[in-house]
Amino acid sequence: MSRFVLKRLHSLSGLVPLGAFLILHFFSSSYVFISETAFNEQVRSLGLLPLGFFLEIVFIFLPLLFHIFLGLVMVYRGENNFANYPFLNNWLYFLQRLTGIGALVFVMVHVYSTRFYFLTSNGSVTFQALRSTLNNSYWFWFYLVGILATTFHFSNGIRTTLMTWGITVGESVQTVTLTLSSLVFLGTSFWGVAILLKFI
Amino acid sequence: MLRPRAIVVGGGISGLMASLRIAELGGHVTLLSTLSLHRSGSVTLQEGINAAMDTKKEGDSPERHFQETIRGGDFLAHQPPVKRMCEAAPGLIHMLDRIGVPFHRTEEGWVDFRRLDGSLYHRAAFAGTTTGQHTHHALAGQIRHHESKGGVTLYEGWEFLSAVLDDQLMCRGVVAMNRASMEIRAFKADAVIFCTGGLGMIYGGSTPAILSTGSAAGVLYQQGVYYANGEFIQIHPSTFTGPDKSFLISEAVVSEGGRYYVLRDKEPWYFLEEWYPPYGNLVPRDIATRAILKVVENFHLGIEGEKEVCLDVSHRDPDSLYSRLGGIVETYRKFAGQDPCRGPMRVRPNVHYSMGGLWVDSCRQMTNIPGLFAAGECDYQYHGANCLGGNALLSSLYGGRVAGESAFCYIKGLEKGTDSVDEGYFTREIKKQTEDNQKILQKQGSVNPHRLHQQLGTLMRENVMTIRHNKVLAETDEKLQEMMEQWENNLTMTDVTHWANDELIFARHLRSMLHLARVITLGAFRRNESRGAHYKPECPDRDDNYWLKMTKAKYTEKGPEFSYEEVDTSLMRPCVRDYTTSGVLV
Amino acid sequence: MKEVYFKIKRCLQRGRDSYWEEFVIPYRSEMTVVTALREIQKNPVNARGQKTTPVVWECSCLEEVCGACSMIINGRARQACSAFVARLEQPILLEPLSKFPLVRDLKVDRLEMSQNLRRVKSWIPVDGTHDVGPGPHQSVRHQQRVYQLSRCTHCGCCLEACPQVNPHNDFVGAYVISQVRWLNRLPSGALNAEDRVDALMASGGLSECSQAQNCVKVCPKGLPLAESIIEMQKSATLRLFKRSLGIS
Repeated sequence: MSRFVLKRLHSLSGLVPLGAFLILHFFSSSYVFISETAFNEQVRSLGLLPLGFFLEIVFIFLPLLFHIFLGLVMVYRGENNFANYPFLNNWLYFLQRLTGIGALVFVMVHVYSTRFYFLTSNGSVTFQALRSTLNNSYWFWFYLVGILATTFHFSNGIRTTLMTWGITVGESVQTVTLTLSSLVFLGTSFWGVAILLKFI
Repeated sequence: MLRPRAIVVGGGISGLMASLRIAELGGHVTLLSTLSLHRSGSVTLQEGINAAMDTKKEGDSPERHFQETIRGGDFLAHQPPVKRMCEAAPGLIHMLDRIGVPFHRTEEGWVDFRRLDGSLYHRAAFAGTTTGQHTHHALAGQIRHHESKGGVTLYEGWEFLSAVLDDQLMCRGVVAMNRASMEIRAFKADAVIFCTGGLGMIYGGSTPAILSTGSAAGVLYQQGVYYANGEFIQIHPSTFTGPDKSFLISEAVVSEGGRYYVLRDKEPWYFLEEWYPPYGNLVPRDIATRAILKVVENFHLGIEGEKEVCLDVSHRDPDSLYSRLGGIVETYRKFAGQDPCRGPMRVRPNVHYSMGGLWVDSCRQMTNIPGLFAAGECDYQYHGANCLGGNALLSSLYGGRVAGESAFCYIKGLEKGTDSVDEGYFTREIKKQTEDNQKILQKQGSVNPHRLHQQLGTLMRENVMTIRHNKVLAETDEKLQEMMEQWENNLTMTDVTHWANDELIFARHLRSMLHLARVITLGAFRRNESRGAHYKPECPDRDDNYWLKMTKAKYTEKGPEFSYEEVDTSLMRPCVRDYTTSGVLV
Repeated sequence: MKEVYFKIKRCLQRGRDSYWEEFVIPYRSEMTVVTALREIQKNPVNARGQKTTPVVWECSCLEEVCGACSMIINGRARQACSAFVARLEQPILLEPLSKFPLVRDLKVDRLEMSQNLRRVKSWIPVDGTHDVGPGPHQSVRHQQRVYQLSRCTHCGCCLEACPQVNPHNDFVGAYVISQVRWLNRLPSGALNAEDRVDALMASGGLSECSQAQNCVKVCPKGLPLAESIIEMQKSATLRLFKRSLGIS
């Protein structure tokens, strides 16, 4: 497959399925706003989804690996120069790469600690287990930064995907999408951090 | 026979046009350009390309175009080639339109035309005020196409050093040097076309690009090519002086409603409109320039005592100005720091174009050396004693095309191709040029070539500009000879390296400039009349009885040797060149 | 201001070491970087009073239409002929463009720029330069847009400022994409629009742009480069769909 198609698929995979999953994930984690048991119940029910493992592999892990791999190639193939060219879009270019790496580390750790760890120990993540982890301030800050990096990468990614696919051609449309993606960033960050704080 | 091979020296508009024609006819072109193509001086051409298409039903025709061109040039151009050029012009505009020059449009979507100096008709097709840039880019695209098909081989960054002539004095190729590695090599071909542009740098900070030194023409002149009509240097009425050069404010401004004026008793005085009612601000450049000089020197009405007048276009709608004069508005804002949409521009006359150039025959663009052709600003063919706005670009395109076609035919008719020429001619020329470089690099006198050039510019600007006096011209020639002596014996090279040594190249250019400066000065000295851009108060009238002839300078060790050639006036009888109705003559 | 301080990054020959040399030039009003470099040519003496070689750089038109005199001035790529000294912070740092092979001092080799144009077939294939009648109609509005796009001077600033143009990446750069947009918009060029879009979909083309949009900020001619790239992305998207559906 040509680099052109790969690049298109890379930006698309960031929105669908990965971005979509991020929202779903936030949504299911939001059961924590109801009660601890509701959260635990939701986690358990997700584990009972038919073909759950298959869905997870096809719609999350493979696209994620694809996105990560190509993303790392892109980081390697770019040379940041915001010091001499400190323009907004150039900063966003840099931050997209920075948060990409941040999100990568965070997601790895998050997936390992909440999924594989419990998978091997035949259990399932619970509110109590998460709370005990997050009450460690290092873990808390790690999660906070990780969530913000992920939401930034996602929201800014919406904007750049629209450009990569040639949808937002004009400068004025780009201003609109910049505003919208900033709002998305604010919204998702607020949402994510609110969930995080619920565990403290 | 093998595929005809030609060399084109110069990547400007006429060079590209000549190359295109040869490649199209099936020949192969080696295109040598001293810088990358896009850096050519042609990109600075502004106002438009003349072609009598009469889309506004004013009664224009190629015949009118021809008459106005001949009259504009004060009858000093061979008429048949000018006529052919005017007839070919509409076809050239169509061609440019097809290859992507973004000409301005009328509401209906046809190419729009503007009126330029010396004309009563809307005849110049234009792309804003950067017509040259767009024309050049479109032609460069065509060259890339032929390059990809193998018809053109491009050598960018190669500096022409000399032509290779065999013992029958036929041109068999050129010797050129890479501007980075300084490698000197010979390029063989059956015909060579020179499209190396003008020589504005002889006058220091003038409107042309910094490489318009006339260097190639100067070299060829020293190799025996006649240089014709050198004394006819166009002084453009409206330029402004920037930090490093003088910037052109072309007639495009006037055609969009710009008016020249000075303040007389605190009232604007539109002197050109008063003196030349039918043409107004669009009189030919030589006349406008002399009118401005009269106003600032005789009447002392220049702005703040400077030799400047106002050119005002600020009464027009800024949006339309920006769309039709964008390039000039932007340049003036950037380099003069003021907005032409808000107030008058301050302009003064300065050197712009050389009507003179390498002598070429009137049907083939071939010089007196067989196989050596010239086209564009470096030939002398189409403008006589003064060039009209919009004709310079046209003559570059047309001259290039004719040169390309005739070079191709010339090669077809050759009995002996360059491959059967003794290799010795090439190796000897390479050796000669290598030794020449060595000799220059060893110069350790006391005069820096750039300083010497500055002196040359000042000398020429002061003495051989618009108004010429025989006594001053004679003195100037003596000073020029002193400068040549300085160049020969007292030059100092501060850079003696053998890699990208621009100073060496400049020193070579300077030598050419000095030779051509003498041709200009002595040509002016000898021509005891006033015609077009050449004006002598001592003999203020045109003298058709004696001087209706071309100046031809031939190089000798002692200096230029002059001969004269009758002008072919078979199509239009010379008459009084009068742009007034009230009889006020400048 | 009486004097101007320059620090110029110099290199006598490709492959040799670079070094910084300082110069003090008497100030003249309206002086530009080119004025200063020309002063050095006339008197090649550095700030310490030592004789040196004149600084080599490229220039041609001196009015910002030929694109020759691009260099890095105080960290940013721009044209030297329009860089007024009075508006620059001193010492004024001059460096050669870093994304091209160095020739000497401030002069670089930008030949690859024309090669890239050949890659995308940046021309209108015509039957010949002979007269076959007028070209197609164009509206005034359309001409204005095309005119703007055609003003590229090939100065290379957009390449220099682009974080995606570097040794690990073969991105052709914004000017090439803008050139394709220009040609594709011309009525006569539109006939071969798909060929050029196909060329841009090859490696080193559109896939390498990551929207840092420095190009549009540094373009001396103010070309809408970012917009051009995204418009070509649009053409490429449509082309991709068409091709994958087998309609081509």
